[in-house]
Formats: sequence, C-alpha cells, structure tokens
Amino acid sequence: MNETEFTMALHECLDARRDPLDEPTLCRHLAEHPEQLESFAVLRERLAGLSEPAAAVAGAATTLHARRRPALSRLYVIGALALAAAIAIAAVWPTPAGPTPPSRGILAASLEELRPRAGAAVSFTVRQCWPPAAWPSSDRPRSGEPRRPDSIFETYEMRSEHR
Amino acid sequence: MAPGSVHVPTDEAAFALFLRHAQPRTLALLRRLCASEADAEDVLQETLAKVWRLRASFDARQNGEAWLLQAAFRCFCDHRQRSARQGPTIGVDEAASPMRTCSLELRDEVRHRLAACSPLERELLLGFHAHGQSLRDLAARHGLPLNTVKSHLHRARTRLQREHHERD
Repeated sequence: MNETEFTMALHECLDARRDPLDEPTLCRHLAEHPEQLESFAVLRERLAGLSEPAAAVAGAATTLHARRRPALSRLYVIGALALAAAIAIAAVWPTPAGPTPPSRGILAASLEELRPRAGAAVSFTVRQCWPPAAWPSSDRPRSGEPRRPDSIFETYEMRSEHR
Repeated sequence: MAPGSVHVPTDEAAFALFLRHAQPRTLALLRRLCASEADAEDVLQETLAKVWRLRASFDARQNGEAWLLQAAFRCFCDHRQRSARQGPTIGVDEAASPMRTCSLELRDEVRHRLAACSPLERELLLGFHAHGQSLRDLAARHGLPLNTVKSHLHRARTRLQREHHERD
C-alpha cells in the first residue's frame, strides 16, 4: 500500500464511520511508515474534537443544523426540575393528624465540676433533664427504682499544660 | 512533520540520553492516540522498556526517532488490543468518543482549522462528524452527487489535518 492508497483507504474508513485503528491494513501501513504516524494521530484527534467547537463555529456557518446528539446536560436539567417539583409537593402536602409525640427537648443544662486532679485544670459535665414521658421505654425506671430524669451526655476536661 | 534523521547511539549512556531527548515527541504522539494521560504514560513506559531491551538489535543506519515512534505505535496497538479484550472499562482508546475530554488547545486547533475551510467544507465536516448526518443526507441537502460530497469531505479532512504553519 503506497501513501495515496493509504489516504484513500483512510477516508473510506472514516466515511464508513469506522475507526481506522480497527483496520489491520491501515495499522500495518502506519507501523511500517512511522513518518505518517503524527499526521494520522492529529487527524484522528481533531476529528474527535470536532463536536466540541461546533457551537462556536455555528455562528460562522450559515445553515448549520441543531445538534442531534441528545445532550447529557438536557437530562440533568430535566432531572433537576423533577427533583424541585418533588420537593415543592412534599413541602405543601398535608401531614396526617395524630397524637403529637412528647417533646424531647433539653429542659435545662448545668455545668458541674468533677474531681479536680493534678494535671487537670478543670472538668465539667453537662447534664440534660428529660421529662419522664420522653424517656425511651428501655430507659424508663421500673417501679421502686430511683427516678433520675436526667442524663449525662457530654464531659469536658481541660488539662493544664506541662511546664 | 516527518521524524528527524536522528541516529540511535550504541552505548548505554548515550542510548539513555537519546531516549530522554526523543521521549517528549513520542509522548506527544501517544497523548493524541490514547484516551487519557495515564494510558499515554503507560504505553510510553512499555515502549521505553521495549526499545531498551532491543537496543542491541537496532540498525544504526535507521532513523532513531522514527524507530522509537514505530515502537510506540506497536506498543499502543498491543495495549489497545489487550484493553479491548479486558472490556470497555479500561478504555485505552476513546479518542473517537465524544465523551473524551477536549482540551482547550485541541479546541483552539480545531477552530483554527475549521476557519480555514470553505463554508461548504465546514458544513460537511461538522454535519458528518459532529452532527452525525449521513453522506446521503448531506448530498440531498446540498443538491450534490454523493461522490462530490465525499471529495469535499476528504479535502476538508486534509485541511483539518494540516498544521498552522502549513499552507491551505
């Protein structure tokens, strides 16, 4: 295969929308003629890049048609609109009336100093008090047990630095 | 751009120096052929390892850079076949895929070359390669015989292939 035959075969391949690198005869020719490799690679790369600047060139061309390729971004827009609609419907949808659950808010909190030790400047415990009705059933005190309607949920300790 | 007439030295130190000098051009070729930078670097590594093993068999009358590009292309083809066997997730070669990242430099080159085309050539090139129109559709739209459309398209591709400094 000479250079002219290679060029014709290359264009025929491109006309048929085949990748020239899938054609053994073209690959063999390129391997035997490395001086043609770079221009081949340039053509292949630029053809692949053609779809990118199409919009930029569309203004220069007078009768270019809209791109047929279903744009991925269009799918994203549709998805975003559907999501926004779902959120809006969920926001205005009437919630079923029923017994309101007991409040589990913090009723009070206190800071309490604990066992000052050497090396520890100060330590505190924060306690939160819960109304008994808000206790989880597993934590609810059985009859006869002392009622402790509070729970420790955080302990802070600040250590002094070594001198 | 034909590979320059660089000859490959025979001793190891000089050979290593030659590879270091010839490497950027080989990597540039592989970047154009491969789908990603990582693939291009992998194939370059394979190529360098291969030519290092084969350095004793190199004919000093040959063009060194052309020899290296040839070896790189063969490694690329092997890599591509291996990847095709392993499945689409490896994707050595997705250069023809529209999903491939199009660098600003490439976009600029393409825009520049398109500007050098005639309006008809540009429409055919974009119609066929960017918009997926068939040759028959393009022929019907422009009222041209199919072979004339092909000739224009071939000329347009040749213009697209040229470098900035080459005359249109």
